[in-house]
Amino acid sequence: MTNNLTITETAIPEATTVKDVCLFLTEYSAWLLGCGTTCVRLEKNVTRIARAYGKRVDLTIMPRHVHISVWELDGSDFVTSVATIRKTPISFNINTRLSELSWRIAESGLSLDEARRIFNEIVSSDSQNKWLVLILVSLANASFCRLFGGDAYAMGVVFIATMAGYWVKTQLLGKGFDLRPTVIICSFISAVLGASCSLFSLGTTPEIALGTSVLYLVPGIPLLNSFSDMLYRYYICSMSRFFDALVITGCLSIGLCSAMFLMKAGMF
Amino acid sequence: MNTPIITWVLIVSILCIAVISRLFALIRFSNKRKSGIHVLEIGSEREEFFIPGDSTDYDDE
Repeated sequence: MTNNLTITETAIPEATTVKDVCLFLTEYSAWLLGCGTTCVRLEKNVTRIARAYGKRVDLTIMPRHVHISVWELDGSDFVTSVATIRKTPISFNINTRLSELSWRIAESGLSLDEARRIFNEIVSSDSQNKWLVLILVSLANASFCRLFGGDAYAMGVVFIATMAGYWVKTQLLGKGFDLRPTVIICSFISAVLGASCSLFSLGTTPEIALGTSVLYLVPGIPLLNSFSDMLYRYYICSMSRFFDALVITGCLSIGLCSAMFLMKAGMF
Repeated sequence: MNTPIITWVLIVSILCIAVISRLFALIRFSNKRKSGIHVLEIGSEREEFFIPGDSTDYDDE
């Protein structure tokens, strides 16, 4: 409560119309949700920005769209806008920087034009080195293998299997393939390569290499967000994210089981 | 028939071909950007019959 009062006092809102604020918040929300934020964070950020500009805001967050109504505090004017959530890879970088932007608007009273300029800069400058990401993802998955008790051979095989699968994933998604068949193909490739330990009798933990070779495809963030949304009673978004994650997990299983069947490994 | 080894070899071969072809394309692309002038080049029909002023929109690509 004290925090809210401080925000209202320190913000220096220039003459901003309800429409301008609404359009900015719509775009902001579409990007923030696309980057993998939770509904509760979105609502807090959007409310913070609207309050800094002396407006009131109501949100409806749907699985693929967001509706925003911005009101004058005295209720004399209001605008409602609907935006489609951006289809963009999950990015904690954009997520964090957009949240910081909301605090900057609230605390130092950025003008709407300045806020828009910073917003455009944030969403257009998120470039990651894809080769570095590829290596880091592979190292992370090899570390998972070690955590599950895999030996050095298993770790090496998982590193290569992850690298191959993740590279194929970036190539296919870059060419506009749907995520679901992409996950099936990548899990199949990674599992086939992950079965190298059992195929060539390398090390003593071939089953761990096979099991952990597809872990990088597990949709962890949608599952966590789904749980968070459920805790805060955003049930529609929670269910939507849960089913999305479930479908991806199903695709992963199809690829893994096909590979295990062909490689005569594990339960087959 | 040894299905596991055939599957493994097939997947590894496809991956190697894909990686090599991507590398080849990457090298070709970077060379193209560097040099700009080509003595011999495989081009499209449009490039041969292009008249300055024609629309540069490519619908068939």
